[in-house]
Amino acid sequence: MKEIKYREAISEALREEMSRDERVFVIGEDVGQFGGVFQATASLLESFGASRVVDTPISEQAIVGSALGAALVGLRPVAEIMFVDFTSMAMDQIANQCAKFHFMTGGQAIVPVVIRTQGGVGFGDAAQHSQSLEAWHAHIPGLKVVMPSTPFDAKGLLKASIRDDNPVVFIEHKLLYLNEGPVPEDDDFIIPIGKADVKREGQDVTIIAWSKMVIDSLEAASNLEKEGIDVEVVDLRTLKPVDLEAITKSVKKTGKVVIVHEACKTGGFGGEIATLIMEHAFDYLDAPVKRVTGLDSPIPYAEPLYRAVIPNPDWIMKGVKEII
Amino acid sequence: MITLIEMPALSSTMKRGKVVKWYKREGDLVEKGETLFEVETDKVNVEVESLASGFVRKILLEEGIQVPTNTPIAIISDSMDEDISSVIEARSLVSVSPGEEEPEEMELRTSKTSRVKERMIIKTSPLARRIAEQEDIDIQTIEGTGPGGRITKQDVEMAIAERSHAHQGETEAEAEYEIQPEIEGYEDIELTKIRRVIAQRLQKSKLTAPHFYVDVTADATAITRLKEDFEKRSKKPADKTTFNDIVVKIVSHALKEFPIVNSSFLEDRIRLHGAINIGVAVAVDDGLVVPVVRNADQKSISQISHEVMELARKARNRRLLPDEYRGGTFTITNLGMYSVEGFHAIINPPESGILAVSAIIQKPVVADGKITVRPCVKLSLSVDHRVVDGSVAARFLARIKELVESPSLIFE
Repeated sequence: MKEIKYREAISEALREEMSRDERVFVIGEDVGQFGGVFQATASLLESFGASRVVDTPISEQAIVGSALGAALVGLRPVAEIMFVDFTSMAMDQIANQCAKFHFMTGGQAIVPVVIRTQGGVGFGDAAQHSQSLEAWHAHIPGLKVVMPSTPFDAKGLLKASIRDDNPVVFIEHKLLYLNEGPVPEDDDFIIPIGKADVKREGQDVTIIAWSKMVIDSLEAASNLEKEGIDVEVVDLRTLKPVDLEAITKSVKKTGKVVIVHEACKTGGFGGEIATLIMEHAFDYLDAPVKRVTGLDSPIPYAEPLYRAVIPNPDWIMKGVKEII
Repeated sequence: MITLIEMPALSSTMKRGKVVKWYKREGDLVEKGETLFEVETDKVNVEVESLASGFVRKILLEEGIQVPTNTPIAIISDSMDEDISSVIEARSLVSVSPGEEEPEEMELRTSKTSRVKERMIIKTSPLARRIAEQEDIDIQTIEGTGPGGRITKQDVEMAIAERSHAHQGETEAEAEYEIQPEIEGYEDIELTKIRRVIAQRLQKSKLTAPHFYVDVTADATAITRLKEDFEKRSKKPADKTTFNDIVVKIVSHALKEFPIVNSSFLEDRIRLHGAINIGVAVAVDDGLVVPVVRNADQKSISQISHEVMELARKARNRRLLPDEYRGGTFTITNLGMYSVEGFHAIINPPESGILAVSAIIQKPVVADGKITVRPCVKLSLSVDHRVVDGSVAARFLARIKELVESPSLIFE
């Protein structure tokens, strides 16, 4: 397997699916000429032309609305919202339209729209460009929510999302784009949506994380190993539908759980996971479920400040030690 | 004035108590010194008098619920219209504040109906609780070593390991008891508190104190005559002196001469007790209790007689105070009233000896080369061999026999 960057894994997935199925097209701000602000759609315009790589004005509602319309007449759009923060502008199209059509037409219409976006704290992008809003989308029945942490998962899950007949909110992370990792070259390499992945096996405590926090959790786990604590790291990869079986399996194995997410704590998806554990594996818990999350704060602009409000490997290690 | 009534500590070792009966209801008038409630401790029930006069405004503890000593259980005030809400509030504020360091946390809540329910919180992980249930381990006996003193899986596993280590032999015996499909039909009797205490104490005694036994048969002619003398002199029939009362006096006298028998084995040393406190085993409805005659050697037979009668009455009514059944140094048990010809008793720990007294029976004996009929009594001494050796036990019992046969030697 060759080693490629996360952003290359995204563009490979798009290229392969666009080549395989001519109904697939991308639409969004700066996706064509500029190749995407994170270069995830680089050189697609040259290969597939302006009718399949569509640059739009700055109107998130129009991007998702157009994608929805195209999907309803048989195309398979991949709409890019540059920052997950701006899905707020398209929330009517996402939550009220994309998520509802299949249901409200009694199953006659399908909405195979992928909304590619990215979130999280990056390089001082401040309060309106740094949020982690996955819980908003996971809350809407009818939407699938995917958040890969590695190039491998990003490629396999994006291809699966494009082939899925339901709207998928595919949330990348701005700090992952340059991470490298092995990725299969097989055109039909697919990772099914809704399957978690044990990124590291361990006996003493389970960390459940997604997106960039998987990377931070793995670093915390290596440090904890030196202190004799054997940590299992479960990467959910998909929040909706969530892989309950993988969660309970790991909880039954270790009895102790730390949930790690970058999103702020209140109303975060960690609360949902914790409750699922309570409902399905309470008798296996050997400690209260612990959450290590971002603070309930807007993300500040200044680096020392934004570093102070989101989890890092040290926070995760501390969280683990509190319940071990 | 508002008075807060608390769960009393009826002895220095009492940590928790349960109100088994309230004699007053909310709104009742109570006089200082009047019985307010009845408390159950390890073995007995004690009636507790009110510390104040006034109206019982609120009863904070339901009957049958155990709480630590000094927990507020009732509020009394001079008049019915005094405002007691501040007392209730202050108390519940204090009691619900979490005590992180305490593994056991008592939470008293005042609900809308003003009834207080106790909820005992032992910090335990669900997993630990489940394993403990499966393994039939009492979670209260486990010490939590997890964060904040929580009992975790590891703690329960430790307890299981200790148990299987300690009871490897016993589990086989238990299995034998339990799996006997050929016995059809059974009834399980739940252990009462007193039965549990008896079981624990006597099992511990038999397992830790190596018992041995010495028997003699004493001629009871003189002592029978002595008893008759006392009976003739007593004014009230209720003040009847029993044979056992005289034995209490005789044994306490003999113990003065054999201080080693009036002792306790304390693993690294033997403690000779300064006082001679004779326990007298009394059968009660669902077991037995052993009230104690303190300094029996310094008391007259009629004093002993009176005291034993009073203690036995209290014991049967479960009114013994802890200090009336604790602190014994030697025990006498008597099954004479059931015409028992001989038996051996289990030492009442931490004592070192117990005397089993059987029935006085007319027997042919050889005296002065002739066979004559005499009232005889068998006396069996059980002693802890860690403390008392055979020759000492034999001499001690011989001295008792001598005193039984010639009680006047007490005045030597």
